[in-house]
Amino acid sequence: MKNELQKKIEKLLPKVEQPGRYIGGEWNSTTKVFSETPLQMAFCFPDVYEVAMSHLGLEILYGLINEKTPYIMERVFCPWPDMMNLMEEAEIPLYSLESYTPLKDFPIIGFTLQYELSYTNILQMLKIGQVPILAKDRKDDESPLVIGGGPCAVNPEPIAAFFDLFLIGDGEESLPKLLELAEGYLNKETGYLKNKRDFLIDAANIEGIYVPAFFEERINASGSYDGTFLMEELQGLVPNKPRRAIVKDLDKAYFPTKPVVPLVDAIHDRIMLEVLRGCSHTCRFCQAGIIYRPVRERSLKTLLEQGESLVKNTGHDDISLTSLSTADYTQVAPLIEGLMNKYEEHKISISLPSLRVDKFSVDLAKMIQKVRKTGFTFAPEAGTQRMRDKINKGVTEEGLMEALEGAFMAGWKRVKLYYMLGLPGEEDEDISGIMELSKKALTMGRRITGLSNISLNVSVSSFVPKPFTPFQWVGQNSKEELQRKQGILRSGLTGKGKGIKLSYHASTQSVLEAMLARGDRKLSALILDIHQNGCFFDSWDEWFKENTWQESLDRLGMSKEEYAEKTFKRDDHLFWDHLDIGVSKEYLFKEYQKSLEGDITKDCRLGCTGCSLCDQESGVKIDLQGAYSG
Amino acid sequence: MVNYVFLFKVQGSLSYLSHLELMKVFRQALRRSSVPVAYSEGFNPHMKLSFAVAKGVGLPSVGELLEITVIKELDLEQTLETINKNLPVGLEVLVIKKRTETKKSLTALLKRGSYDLSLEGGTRSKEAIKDFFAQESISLMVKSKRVFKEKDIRPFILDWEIVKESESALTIQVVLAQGSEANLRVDVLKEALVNFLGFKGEVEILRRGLYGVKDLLIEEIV
Repeated sequence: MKNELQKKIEKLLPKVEQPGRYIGGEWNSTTKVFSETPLQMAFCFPDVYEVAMSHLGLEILYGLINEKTPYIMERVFCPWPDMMNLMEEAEIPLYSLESYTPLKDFPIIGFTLQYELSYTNILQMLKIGQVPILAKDRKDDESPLVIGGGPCAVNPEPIAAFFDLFLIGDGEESLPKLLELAEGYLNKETGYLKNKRDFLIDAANIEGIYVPAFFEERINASGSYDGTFLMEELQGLVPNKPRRAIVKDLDKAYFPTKPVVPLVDAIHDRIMLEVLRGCSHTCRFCQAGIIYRPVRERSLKTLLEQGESLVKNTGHDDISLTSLSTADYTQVAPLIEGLMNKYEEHKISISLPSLRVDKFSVDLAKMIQKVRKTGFTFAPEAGTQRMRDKINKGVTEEGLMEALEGAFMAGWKRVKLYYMLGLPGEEDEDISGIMELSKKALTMGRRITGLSNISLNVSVSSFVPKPFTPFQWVGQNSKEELQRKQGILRSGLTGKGKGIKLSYHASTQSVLEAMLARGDRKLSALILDIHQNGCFFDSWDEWFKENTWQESLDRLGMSKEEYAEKTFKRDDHLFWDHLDIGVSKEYLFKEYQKSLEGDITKDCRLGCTGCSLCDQESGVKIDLQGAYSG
Repeated sequence: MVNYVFLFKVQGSLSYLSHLELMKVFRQALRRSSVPVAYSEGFNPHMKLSFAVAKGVGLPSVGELLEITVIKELDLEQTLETINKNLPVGLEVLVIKKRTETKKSLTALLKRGSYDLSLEGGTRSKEAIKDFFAQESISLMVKSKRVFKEKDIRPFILDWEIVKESESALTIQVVLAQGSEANLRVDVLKEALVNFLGFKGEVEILRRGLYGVKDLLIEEIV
């Protein structure tokens, strides 16, 4: 049955780009009825439909809550600006795709925090959803509870003012417990939670839950930051160091086998089969490599079963074996073989989105290219051995050349190389290294394939220091420095007949990303001001308003450079020190020191490197499905 | 290799899907239903399926046609049941027929399309509607290949009739030239009619069916 809101929305659809983004009704979307469930949650992804529907975390939580609990989870995404304007004119509030329920009518609203530049979209969605933006303005029995989770939740301080609580770590552990608790606090008459403070105290006792309002930043007499602490009056009532939640047995953990199949094309429109979580390499710039540790694998049997159900339940023609490093999966070859044997004749292809730079990965890629041939991407990350050792990217030039040779010999013609600029300790010789390595790769490609017109894509991103990494102390290169380095690459690599296509990210956005990633609570005021001045979709070049950001910064007397370029001292308090994601700060600092020396750290599956993310007591440990010998 | 034609309807919000999106939805539903659709050869094999004609975004229809090539004969009854179990709400296959004559594509056979235009609200005058269709020529600026050109659309309106009238609405059924030789888009006709009448209410359009030279296209192909 169509409700009034749906009728109003349909009137707008002929006027917007890609109306399929706004209609819901996809295969496998939940058939539960909002009004017949004891508690409702809106899962908000602060970006447009195609991006949101490419996100595995959404599918996991959506399936888990809708299949395994009595509650309902519906989806709410950010409308593209054309639709946003029309909705505003027609006074249509932001609504859910399943039941066309206004966002403000959900007792619980959860945002996934995937990248810092999506923060303004969170505020925009609350605004057009008619939900008070500041947590302190959302009263008991009157407003939804707003929660957040995802990778950026490991330092959520810049957005603390907008959220009632954050889920740190694996959400499938903490979210069902949280909803069960919330059900007990639901006032059926108002449809919102009552006694929010009591609720938050109980919630803060669930592992993985952080209530920012219970903590305060301390500033010392000289005006500098002295750490964030649990408030006096809450001592003893809630843990003073919120700890991340983690799935201990990934093989037994819930995984969705009936994911929603988008009607319009999502960016990743395919089956996502998660083979493992975590990563045992210690690339020193990588946050995901730390915060999802330790490595936990699913069994071959489980994955083949899940793969079969997913093929049957979705109708997709591509299975992506996802993880931070799929070639590391101890059963990867038998898994690919098993899937290929079953699905090759049905023209279902396998894709490997995250391959290492080595011959083994090329051999894996050869196994999957029977159905559809895609491009090949390698990520050496840096141009010289010196720099690769500093970031502990276990790649040698020999290894890269061997991998490239294998790829070209096997017939790949489209190859992409990923690098980072502005890494700690980088010098101009490392930039030259990027150029030399790329040219070498191209020459090899032309020689092996015998084609003079093959081209090589070189993609260069700017290093952004992230919390809970060995580089968390290090300041980012200035925008000018990044642009200078990009200029060196541009003049050296591109030009007629050179055969190299260079792409790099806008440097201002990287600076803002760095500011927000390592930021403090003061930034909430900035984000609010920027939002009020009309910024949204900041990660989209066509909507990013650099001047508006700068005007807000100036108005509030803040400097993005000060945040982004700040290098912390060993004993400085970091804005995220009060959160415990399990890693020891000493370990991170030791890794930072090793980087300065150019010392490398081995894959921790070969022997413990002391990060302390495994925890014998609670049973959190590396969980492999087969032997690993390096 | 055998070809089959599906007569299907698309209604509700799913009518807002684009041509390519609708195709994808069918590909996925066919795979879920294990219909043995044939694939093209080459590095990037894709399913052999096509629609008779592109449908405008937002236009509901009870007479769309999809043609597929399969590698073995289908049990029609069972396929109809399975495919409908695997289609999202808003899409339904009504009839499946085996194609015996495959020399020409559905698109090449298509000549006419019939539509319902329901005028709701506003003031509707039957006389004015008659006057509109009685015109010898109806010249409009029509966009074709990104430039506006003057076009007389009257020859492409093959038939019209008021089929239903109530206090709240009036429904006109029209038959328009459709296909590669002569074609009139229904939204262009709607625009002209609304302007002529000075009609201020809502116009709901439904595509009823696609026709060949003599009959409904689904009847002509067997």
